[in-house]
Amino acid sequence: MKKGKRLLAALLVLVMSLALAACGTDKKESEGTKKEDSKKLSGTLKVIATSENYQPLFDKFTEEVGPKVEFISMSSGEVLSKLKAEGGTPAADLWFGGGIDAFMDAKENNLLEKVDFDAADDLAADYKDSENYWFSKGITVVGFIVNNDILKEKGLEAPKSWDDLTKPEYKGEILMSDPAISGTNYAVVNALLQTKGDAGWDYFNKLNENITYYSKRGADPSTKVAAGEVAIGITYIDGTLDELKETADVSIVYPADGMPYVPEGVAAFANAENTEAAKAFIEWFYSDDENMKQLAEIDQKNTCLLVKLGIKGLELDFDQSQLMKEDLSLFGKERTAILERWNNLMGDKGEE
Amino acid sequence: MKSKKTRASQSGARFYNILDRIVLMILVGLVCLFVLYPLLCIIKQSVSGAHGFSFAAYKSIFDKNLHLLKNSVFVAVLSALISTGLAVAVAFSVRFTFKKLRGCLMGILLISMVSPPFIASLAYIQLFGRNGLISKGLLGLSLNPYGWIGVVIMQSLFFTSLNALLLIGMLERIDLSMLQASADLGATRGRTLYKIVLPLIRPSLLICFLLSFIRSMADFGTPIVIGGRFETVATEIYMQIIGYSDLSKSSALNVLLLIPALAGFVLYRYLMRKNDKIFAGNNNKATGAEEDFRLKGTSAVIVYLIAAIFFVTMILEYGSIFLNSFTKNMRGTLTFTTQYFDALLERNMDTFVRSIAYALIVALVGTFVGILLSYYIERRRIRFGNLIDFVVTMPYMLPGSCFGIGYILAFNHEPLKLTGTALIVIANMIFKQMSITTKAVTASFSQISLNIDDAARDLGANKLRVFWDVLLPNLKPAFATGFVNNFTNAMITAGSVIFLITPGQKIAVFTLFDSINTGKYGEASMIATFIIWITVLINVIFYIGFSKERRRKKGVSGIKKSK
Repeated sequence: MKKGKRLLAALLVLVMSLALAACGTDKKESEGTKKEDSKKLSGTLKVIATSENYQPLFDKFTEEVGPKVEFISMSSGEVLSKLKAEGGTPAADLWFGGGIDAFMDAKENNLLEKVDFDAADDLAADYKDSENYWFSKGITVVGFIVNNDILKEKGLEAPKSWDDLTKPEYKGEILMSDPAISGTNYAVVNALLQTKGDAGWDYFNKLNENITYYSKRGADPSTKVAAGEVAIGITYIDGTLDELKETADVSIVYPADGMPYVPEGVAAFANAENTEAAKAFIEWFYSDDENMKQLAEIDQKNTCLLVKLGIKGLELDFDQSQLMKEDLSLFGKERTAILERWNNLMGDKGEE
Repeated sequence: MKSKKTRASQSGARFYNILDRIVLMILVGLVCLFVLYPLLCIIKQSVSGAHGFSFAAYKSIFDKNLHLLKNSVFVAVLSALISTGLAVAVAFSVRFTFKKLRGCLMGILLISMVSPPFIASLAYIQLFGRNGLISKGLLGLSLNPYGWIGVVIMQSLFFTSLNALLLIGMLERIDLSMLQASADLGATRGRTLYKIVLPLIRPSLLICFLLSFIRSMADFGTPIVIGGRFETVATEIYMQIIGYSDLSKSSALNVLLLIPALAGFVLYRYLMRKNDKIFAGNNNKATGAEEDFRLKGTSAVIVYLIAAIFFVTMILEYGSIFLNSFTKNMRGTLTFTTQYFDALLERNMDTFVRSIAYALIVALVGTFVGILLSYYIERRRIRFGNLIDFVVTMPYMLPGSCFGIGYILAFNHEPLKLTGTALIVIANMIFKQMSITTKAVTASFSQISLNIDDAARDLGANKLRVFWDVLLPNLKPAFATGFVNNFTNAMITAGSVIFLITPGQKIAVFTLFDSINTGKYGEASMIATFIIWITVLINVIFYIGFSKERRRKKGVSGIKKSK
């Protein structure tokens, strides 16, 4: 029994010291880096990104500017909820990527920091906030991905346009993400409503007939099409889809009647611990074309060309005229109203 | 001389009484700070509109979401029933029949305890979906796996493991001489099991049912992946947080979710109390000859068949996860690849180290606090014990993401600013799972007669000694269950900590989450495989170390008894 007690005591001591160590490391690290170099910026830059792939870009920043980068991936919705719960004490400094509507929402709620810098004037005015609260690092364009095996099996042609999707023969063969979850699919809804005007809602009602369910994760349409679960997915288009071509006979369709798109935001959080580093990152990022090229490589698309015109060595994968005409200012403004209407029309309809 | 001794023992008693009080106060303080306070913050959030106090969030909640509540309860009742039934079959098979296979079957159970979020559901779609390996590849069917049936199946399978482990622990504590006596008196085995064993494990069955019910109510991961259009309150809460960033509405929905959970809890409390009275005199010993109590006849066939189906499904499910981590489907042909393994090594391995450190702390501290709590609530019947128990159970009733949001709301400002620290993550993990430990311990307590405490007290043992020397040794199975559950959940819980983790604090399950969200199922499977094996390894080390100790003790206590 005594042995057991001693073991337990030893374990508890171990646990406590582990806990203390775990709590203590953060401070030590940041102090250490502070002393390291006085010329460069110091401290740690905490980033919320959209994926884990940006490590090389952040490493480059650390090397050239100084601050160590720690980052974590989160969806825009999660970021907004977290920010609102934090009550003005954000746990991160920089927000890198995510649908622009969330950035607009955050600006409205005074959660973003104004970042003025020289190179900001060189950026395309369409894709940045007029008051420099947010910028974008590129755009997400939306089209279709189709599984040719399934289409063949069902004797169907691949759809060529948004209007094709409402044809009755595609019933049960289309997957789309819930626009409340997926910034990509919110762009589809907003852009098509802008293009079609009042007929827009009729269109989505018809489309709803063909859609079995709205998936709750943004990557589902492309992966499930590749897995052969559905024939057609409404998806973002970038180089990562090419990897799916290895695993299944899929093709990408650029809709003939235009592609919806949404800018991917970049912003500094207001009241953050290291706003200075966040501002430095934004300035650094847009000041050197090499950074943009590295980003293009990571994101596997070259849409940063639209944000900063004239980057040499990059070329768009599509014709810019294929993009739908969008008034981006409506993205943030109309979000609540559109999603509420969407939810009322589509949400409960499909119940058993 | 003599009087001095009494005085010394009196002052000793006083010391233990004070210690006793202090421990109790600390426990209550912890529960108030880390459970009650965040929960109150959620409730406060639900009634705070843009311009101060407002019931706006509740306005349309009942008429708009009533069918969601119905869906939740419907699925929860089914999943709880099926998983409890499955667990009985599994537990009986493991305990009474397949002793040679015991290690193997327990291994599968331990593995299936570790179900990283989303992964099992993705495996299910891969096996039984429209293009599933089994449904299409083997049977040539084209099934639609999306809907409430899939949700019920996945939840039932997932909940069975913990239920079965709880029940096996309980069955092992049943005095076999009682079964022997029953057999000697001419009862058939079926009758013995029905009349003796079943009543003895009834508290555990209730606990299994209730826990599964609550887990199902709070589970959003399964319906999100395979629910299709089928939605529950938990998925709606997820949508409100992730999609609409509406904290007030999601908080209000949580309050809605608490209603059936509360009803379940009250029912469970009532039944447990009633049960205690029936078995108040039952003196439990884990001794008695290891006789053959295997089932016979048709009932046996049914029980084994059910258990077999469970085990085969688990092997298929986990087999496909492991397979996915090392293969790639290249246009219809499976190809071996180390691509995902390399990606895993490339990623920061320190996320795994951090995960394990957190999980160990959670497992040890959480289990110990849980045992102490249920000691005071169940054994000492302190005032407001029921209330404390209810408060402790609440985090388990809510979807993880909400408990996480509650923590941010509660600890985002001085003097209690904990956001961004490791402590907030660990505390959240500890108290999210606390009720499992207290329930397991409670079930154990209900098998130990209160008379034993009294006897020890009469023999001069103080409360601490009673707790340490009399009760604690009897709680080993419950401690094991608590440890395994706490450790496992700390390794795989994503929902509640997703909001608490800050950059630089990434844990393994977070990278898993990211891989799934970006559609990299191969990488996700590899991370899941790693998490599963690490968790199982540590659980097994703990389990084996524990059962060795137990065997040794059994011998000692046997000698003591013969004296």
